[in-house]
Amino acid sequence: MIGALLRRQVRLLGRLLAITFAGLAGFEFLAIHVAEAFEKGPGLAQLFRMLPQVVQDVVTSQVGPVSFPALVAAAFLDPVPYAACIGVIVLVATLPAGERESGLLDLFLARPLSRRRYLLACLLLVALVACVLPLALLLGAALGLARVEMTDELPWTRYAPCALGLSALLLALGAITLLLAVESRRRGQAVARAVALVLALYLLDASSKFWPALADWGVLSPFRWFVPVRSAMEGTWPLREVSVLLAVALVASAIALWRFDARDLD
Amino acid sequence: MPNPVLHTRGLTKRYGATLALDALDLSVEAGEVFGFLGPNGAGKTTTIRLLLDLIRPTSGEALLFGRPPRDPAVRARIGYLPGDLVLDPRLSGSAMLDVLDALRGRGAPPGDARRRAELCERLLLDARDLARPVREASRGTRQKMGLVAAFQHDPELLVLDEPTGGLDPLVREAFFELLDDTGRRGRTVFHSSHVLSEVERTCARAAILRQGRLVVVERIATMRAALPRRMTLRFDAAPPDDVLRAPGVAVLERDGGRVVLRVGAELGPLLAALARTPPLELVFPEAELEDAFAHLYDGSAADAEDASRTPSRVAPGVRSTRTSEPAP
Repeated sequence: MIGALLRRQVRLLGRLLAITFAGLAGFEFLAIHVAEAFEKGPGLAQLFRMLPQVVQDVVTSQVGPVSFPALVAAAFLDPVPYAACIGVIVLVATLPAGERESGLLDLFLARPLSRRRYLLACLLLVALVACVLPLALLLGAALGLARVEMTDELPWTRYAPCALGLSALLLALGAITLLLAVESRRRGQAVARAVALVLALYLLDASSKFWPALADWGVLSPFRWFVPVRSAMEGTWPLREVSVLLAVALVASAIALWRFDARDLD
Repeated sequence: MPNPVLHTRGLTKRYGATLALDALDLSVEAGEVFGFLGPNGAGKTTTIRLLLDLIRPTSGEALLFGRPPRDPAVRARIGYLPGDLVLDPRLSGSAMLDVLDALRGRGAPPGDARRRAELCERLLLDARDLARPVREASRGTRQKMGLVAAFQHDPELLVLDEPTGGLDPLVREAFFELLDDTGRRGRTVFHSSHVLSEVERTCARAAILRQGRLVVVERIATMRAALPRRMTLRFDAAPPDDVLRAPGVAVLERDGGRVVLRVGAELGPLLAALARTPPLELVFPEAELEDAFAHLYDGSAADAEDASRTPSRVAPGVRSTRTSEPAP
């Protein structure tokens, strides 16, 4: 039954996923070309020093020291792919609210499909999308590096952890959104709540890096646990950060399952 | 009633201060085609949503096949058509039916494909309708798809909420025949509607719900038999006193030799009086269930259940909304 639901959802979301996948891969591919042009031209570090000090501070706080590997990794948290990935995950994770609003959920749950199985199917879809979208960036990076013949300078093991981290972040945000969707009667309401929360969490993370009063609160934001540049620079797998994000996803999913099972679907 | 297919005991649903359903006690036996009547907002859909575990009762319980509807195995034995049917507009009709069939949890046996084809044929749903995306289908076509989805796995219990909405008269008749066949094959049907004539046409027994409360559960024939009827008589002179004063008779209209009477269940004394003074003309149509329906919805009825069983108490609220056929 879960398979039937998943197949239907993938079929309906297929076009959106394909377009987003191609866009993300293309973005990373181009980003590598731009980074390579700077790297082989005036030099990234020299170019960076020409920027105002305040801009240098902001960039350094967000992506660390400017270098070719850092720029490749930074594409994973560039606003464009970031917004695209989060937008798609919010759209997917609010599906239960949409199907509840339309009445389709009644038709499904009147069959021998338990509420938990239905939500599990939604969760699996969120996990699938959370894996597929970072893979697009990974593919774009691999193709881009091959195109500029820099695979030796930056092997896949340096930026694959970025994709893993992004997957974990999307999964955590997806699970939180799913929880909000379970508590919403309308999809618009669920999307609005999710966008507001994601934005608040993002701002919390960003501002905690500048504002000492918020420094301790930054850990509450899932964005704090996504560290692509550090992973790319050090070439290490961010296992601790991924574990925290997976734990967030697990807790949010468990609460969503419990709430969905307990509530009236009116 | 031994082993009812559907049983509710004190089933109550409250939304804050609003009582949507008040202590519903109901039993539907296997093989019954049961009508569930009430105006919009009476609590019919709330009851159905409770029966399908889409909402949970505030108190009381609902049992289907002796088990709570929360058990998915129970819902595997049900076919459901919601009142405000929504199908995925992006899928084709046949893809939507496939998805709903797949959610039964097992591969459709070969017989089901034949059954679906047979249902489509009976409900005049052709292959082109099923091939098109649902968003392009008319309301009637979508309703036919919903009916096929409800019937296609030959469920033991059919829960149909306003099933004829959007159907043209031809398809509606085909649906009634399908329902008759379903009942004849021993399947149980819970037919919720606010259209009295539909329930009268398809069901042997019905419950009437008003403002969340069960007003009456009775066989349709019994409901009709208990109703007061109108009798129109024409005499060549003034109607005789023993006719006008017969027990259980009330005069509604009088115009010379023509008189319209309201007659209760006890006909003996009136017939005896008529035998003594035969009228020139007598019109005595069968009572319409709609009269009971109208009366039971009348807020002035203090005790509707009693009223439906006692003609003299039904009488003040009675109003006929149908054209009566003369008695043979």
